[in-house]
Amino acid sequence: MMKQLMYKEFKLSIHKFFFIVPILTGALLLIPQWVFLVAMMYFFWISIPNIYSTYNAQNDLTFCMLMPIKKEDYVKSKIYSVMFLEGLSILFGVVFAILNHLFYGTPNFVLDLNAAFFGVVFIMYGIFNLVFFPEYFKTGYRFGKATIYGNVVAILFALLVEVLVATVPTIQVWMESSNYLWFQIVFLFLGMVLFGVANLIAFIQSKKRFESIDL
Amino acid sequence: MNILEIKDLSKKYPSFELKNVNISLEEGYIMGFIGANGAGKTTTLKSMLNLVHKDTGEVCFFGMSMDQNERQVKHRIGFMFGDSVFYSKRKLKDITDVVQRFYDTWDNEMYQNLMEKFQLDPNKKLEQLSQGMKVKYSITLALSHQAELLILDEPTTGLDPVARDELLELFQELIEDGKRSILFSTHITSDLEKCADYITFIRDGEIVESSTKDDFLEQYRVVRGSKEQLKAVEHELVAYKTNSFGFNGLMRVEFFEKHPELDAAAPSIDDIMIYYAKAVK
Repeated sequence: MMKQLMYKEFKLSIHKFFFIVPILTGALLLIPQWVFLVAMMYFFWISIPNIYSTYNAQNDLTFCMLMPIKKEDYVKSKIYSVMFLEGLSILFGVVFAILNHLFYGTPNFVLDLNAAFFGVVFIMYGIFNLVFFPEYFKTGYRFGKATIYGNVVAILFALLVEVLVATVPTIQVWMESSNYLWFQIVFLFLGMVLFGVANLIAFIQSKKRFESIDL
Repeated sequence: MNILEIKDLSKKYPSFELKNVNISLEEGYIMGFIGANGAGKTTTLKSMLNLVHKDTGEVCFFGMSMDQNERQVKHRIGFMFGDSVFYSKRKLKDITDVVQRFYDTWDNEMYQNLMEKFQLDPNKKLEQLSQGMKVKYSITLALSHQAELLILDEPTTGLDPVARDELLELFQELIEDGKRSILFSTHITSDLEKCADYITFIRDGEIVESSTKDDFLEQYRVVRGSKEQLKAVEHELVAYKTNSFGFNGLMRVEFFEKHPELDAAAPSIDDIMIYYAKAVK
């Protein structure tokens, strides 16, 4: 059923514009000397509230519940589609990060665009999902509070990372020096694993909450 | 075989309670589910479909428990909730393209035939359809995935008399081969007089009666008498109205047999609903 639900998400529910947003936010990585984590945050500033208000306007929940699926399938499809769009944002982020290096070739004044940067982005998205989905699935339609909570926690995490990199020389060296490329790659994979774990926990929590409510 | 069997379904809300609902429906029949607004029709339908958690009771479709076989059961049912319009700005062909993928049993030839029969243009947006056409589109989707039971919540509400009559005729046509059943809720009682085989009447969350239409009507008499006669039978009436000559009221047939002196007439479904609405619980 998941294949059919994902087809519905991409064909009927999520407007095509939100598949272009990752290219636009990725292009922000070409701004010289900037806090690049901000560019990756546009996903949950623009795409999330718009996609979720459209679900409500189109009565997506009722539509899905009339299909031969269970509530947990519905939860899973929502998490998968957000994970897909986050993956797309990171993918285009990588493309524009490479272009940034080709154009400028100079280090950034805060976190550099390297493998570790994308590890941080994976963790940031994982944290957002971990807060957003369980809060959203308390009702299955109220996305405002969930978006704000998710944003606050993800932004605090990003701020903490930027401050640590800027103020703690050891962390800066490990996260940015080309001598520690291996660590930065390990950090990227660590980020991916944490992203997966965060989404799994988000699913378990969301499923439990969504199962318990009346529609 | 019973296509639907609901046993002792209960659900308690702070301000409303569904109490021990029992309903069964055989293959090849139409059941009308009636009750005033707020009587519990939609809550019952939603509890049947696991959209609302029931506190107690069991719901079985095609002999299978809904709790354990939700996906399989939903494959064999078609639903329509009266006030819900989804993806109204999308073309019918786009919605169909998504819906058909959920069903292995999808019959595209039947879909094309029904779209033609109901004069539904696949390039129209859902919001461009009249209420009657929207119901027909829902039925088209349900029949194309070969649903054996159609559950329709107030499908005739908001339709003009011509469209309503046309739809009720369609309901009868759909069950002719004896393979399908229809359960539809309504508060328009004339719908039931035209096409229902069974009637289930719900009031304040409790099933008052669930039987064949004829049995349902035969259970009651509308009686008329003087003010003096009222004193003797008041406690045996479901409810009554007084006027300058005496009273009119609704009485169950077993009580009426004890009072042959009263004038009596067969009630309409409307009479039964209206008197029950007046009755003090």
